[in-house]
Amino acid sequence: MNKFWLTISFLILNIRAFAQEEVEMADQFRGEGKIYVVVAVILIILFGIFFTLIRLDKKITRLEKEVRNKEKE
Amino acid sequence: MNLVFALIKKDYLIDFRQKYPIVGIALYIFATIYISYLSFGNLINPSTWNALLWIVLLFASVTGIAKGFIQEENSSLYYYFLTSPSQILIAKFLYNGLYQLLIVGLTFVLFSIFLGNPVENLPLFMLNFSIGALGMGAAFTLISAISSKTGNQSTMMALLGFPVVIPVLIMAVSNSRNIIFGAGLTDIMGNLLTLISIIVIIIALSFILFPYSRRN
Amino acid sequence: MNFLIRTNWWKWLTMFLLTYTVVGGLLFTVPRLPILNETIRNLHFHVPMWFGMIILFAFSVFHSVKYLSSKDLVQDLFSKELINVGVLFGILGIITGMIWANFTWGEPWSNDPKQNAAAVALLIYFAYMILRGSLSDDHQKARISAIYNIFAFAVLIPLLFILPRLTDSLHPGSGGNPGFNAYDLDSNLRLVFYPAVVGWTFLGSWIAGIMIRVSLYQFKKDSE
Repeated sequence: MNKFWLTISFLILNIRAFAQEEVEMADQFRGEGKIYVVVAVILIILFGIFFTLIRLDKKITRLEKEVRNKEKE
Repeated sequence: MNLVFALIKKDYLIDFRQKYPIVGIALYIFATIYISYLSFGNLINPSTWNALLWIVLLFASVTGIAKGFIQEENSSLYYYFLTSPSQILIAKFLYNGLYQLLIVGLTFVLFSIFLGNPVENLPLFMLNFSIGALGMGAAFTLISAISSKTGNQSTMMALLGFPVVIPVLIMAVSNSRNIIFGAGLTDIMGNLLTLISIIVIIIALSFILFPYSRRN
Repeated sequence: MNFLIRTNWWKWLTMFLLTYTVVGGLLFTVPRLPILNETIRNLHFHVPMWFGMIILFAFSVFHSVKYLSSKDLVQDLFSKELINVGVLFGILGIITGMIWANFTWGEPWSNDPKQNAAAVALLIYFAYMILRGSLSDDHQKARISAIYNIFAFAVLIPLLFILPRLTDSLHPGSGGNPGFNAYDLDSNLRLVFYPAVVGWTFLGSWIAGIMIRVSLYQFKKDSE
């Protein structure tokens, strides 16, 4: 267990050390606000998929009802 | 227990009376090793030697065990009414185990003759080699029971068996590599125990699942 | 797992969680780590594919066990469709993984234990599909494939644990790569990652649920 904590604390130290160096990130891209374009595009695609799934869901529910009604008759 | 021995004896008799299954496997091993010998000559390093050895063993055991349940399907079904599934499975395990040891011995001898022998710690190497082979035998036993139900037994055997046998193979191959490069028993103990526990899992699962494969 | 075809509330949860994943995953601040750089955000999209795959396969094994004890073909349908979606997640995971690996490790396939485990998992389930295709009788198909499903899953799980022990992993936490363990500290990543896993897994269940219901419909129609 001690070894585990030792590893963890070592990793923490590591991360700190990394954080102090300048790591290249897409800062400019974000700063210009272009990231919102990406978010918007992905969200629209995601909503499209959700919409299709909901429609499929409704459709199969309707079919199930038809089968159930037939069984009753 | 007597029934188990009777079943083993039956398998043995079928194989040795017809002769071609046993001779076929032996020839198969000889042919693969001889082709490796022809293509590699004497220029073979220990890593390649190790890999080749396991590949030959893998294919020999697939072909060897594949016929296990397949021959049951048509000729001796009446056995199934006299014995319980676990008895049949024990018999198959033992018989396949013996078969695997036979293949191990033959493969190793032929390999040493044709492709040399880089192993220094021979007893340990053979221990690991045999355990690996027995593990393969155990995994292939249930798979052969499954694939005997399909139309295309030998293909299905390889297709279903190879992914399942990978855990056993990975442990055993890395052990055998380490032994060739000078590892002792203490070095590989951890891996060896993992290997054995995987084999125990496989055998236990086979006992649970095998009865279902027969019921209709 | 009857909730897959009976209830609906978790579908709203799915939509909410995934929307949150996209927004949070792309906009929240993340730790600045070398090698990964900005691609650390893939954590919320690539990794949940694997979690989802394993969870869907586990559900499928559950139904295989249920089939063997009840001989109810409906259970077999559950099992089959869950595997279909699990394999879809696996393929997506392996492709996204290769793209990510190409950027961070310099090559798409680098003999990494987790990649190998993924490849074996896919091999097993492709074999499962071929096995199903090669059997014609419905009950025999269900029985034999249930046996193989349980057997293969039980062999796959130890593999996921032993592979990383044998070769050095390039995945975070080893081999000089910054570790995900350390993210336990970074609440920003955790805040998105756990909901992302739940969201993607639910999305898989949703698709599987629809496919199961379609199969059930066909099944009922055929048996009329």
